[in-house]
Amino acid sequence: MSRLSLQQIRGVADLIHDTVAGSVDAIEETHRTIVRKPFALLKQIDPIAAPVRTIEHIERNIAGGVYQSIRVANRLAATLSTQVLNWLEEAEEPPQPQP
Amino acid sequence: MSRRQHGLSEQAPQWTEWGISVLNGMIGDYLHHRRNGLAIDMACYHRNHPLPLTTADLLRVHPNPGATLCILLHGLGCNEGVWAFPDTPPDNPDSSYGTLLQRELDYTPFFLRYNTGLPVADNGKTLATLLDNLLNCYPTHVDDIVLIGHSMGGLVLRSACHYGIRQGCQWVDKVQRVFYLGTPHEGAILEQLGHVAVTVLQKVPNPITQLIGKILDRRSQGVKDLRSGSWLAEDGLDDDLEVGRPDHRGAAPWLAHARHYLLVGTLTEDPDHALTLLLGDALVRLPRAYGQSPPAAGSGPVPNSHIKVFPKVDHIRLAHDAKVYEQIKLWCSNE
Repeated sequence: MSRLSLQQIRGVADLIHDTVAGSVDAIEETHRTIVRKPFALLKQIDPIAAPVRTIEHIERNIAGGVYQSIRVANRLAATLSTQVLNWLEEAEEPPQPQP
Repeated sequence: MSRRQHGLSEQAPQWTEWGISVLNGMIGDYLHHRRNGLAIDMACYHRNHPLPLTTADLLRVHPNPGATLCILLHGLGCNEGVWAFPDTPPDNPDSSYGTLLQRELDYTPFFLRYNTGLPVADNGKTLATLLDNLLNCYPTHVDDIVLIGHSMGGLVLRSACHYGIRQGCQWVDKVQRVFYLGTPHEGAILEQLGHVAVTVLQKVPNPITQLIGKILDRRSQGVKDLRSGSWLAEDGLDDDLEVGRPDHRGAAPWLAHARHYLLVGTLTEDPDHALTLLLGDALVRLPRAYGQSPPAAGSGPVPNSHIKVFPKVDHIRLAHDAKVYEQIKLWCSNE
């Protein structure tokens, strides 16, 4: 098995971070598009319009919170992996000759 | 005997390099623009490492450099490992077309690796510059250059010749023969089908299909360039082609003074079989010019005598097949 270079490992970490970030954005947008229609339909029925609005508000907050927490975790993971890779890079560097 | 048993893991691309090459084919333009560490920079590769273009390094790799250079360029999602004959250790002089041509015709082979997800035109421009640098530091005089491109590699070669002329590169005049192995000069059927699928998915008024269409549309510009075989980006037309937008980019003339050879495979024994007419070698169909006399309009300066069909040789095997090599050697020796 051949080894990945640190530069390539950085590339893998960056790609995972980009993929998670892009996926969360795309899935959240699709999610919102899907739930918008039934809520819009139900809100047209006067007797249940008020509770539907409340439920829609709760759903938006919960889903938004979940997506936001994934984004935060993703950013934290990216920062952590960058830090670890920086340490590894420093450890791999040959010691400077003493004057 | 496998390569690992030979202890040659450092000499040939392993699964990590293959994985990175496939990834570059799929989203290489994205990796390049993001300056991602996985993006491949075009270079000559020797024993799985980029070869610095200095006279000393060239002499280290080729202690007896010949007067004929042979440049081998792989296709989409591949690397120089695609040229290796199956189960042949890389140090074996019979391990690829390049090493065989070196032993039998005294050619000096150079295997390139590049980011196949970049636009074909971009790779063509880079290759034109790289070959100029190679010639500048080559230890002896070069009489002749032979170009061999597999699949997309053939399109990049055509593009490089075009930009080489534009940039006034001296190597272009030395190109005598260009071999195209399964090169989609007229477009690749798989990408054409992919384009239709993406267009349909994005037109369907459903968020899930639109999401799938959006994901599929993130495929690299290199892949998209295979749709029509377009490999020339004129000024201001380098942008990403959107689905449904007509392709304004076109083909430049074939290198006028060189001889061009098309080597194509088929899935079936009979080239007229319906499966072969539909799919060709699984990815690229037979050229329109094949079997037509005089050649079809727009098929380029490739007479029928310069087109060879290899029955039951699939697209990937065109890069490492004994019969294909014999034909290349025959054309290199006789013409």
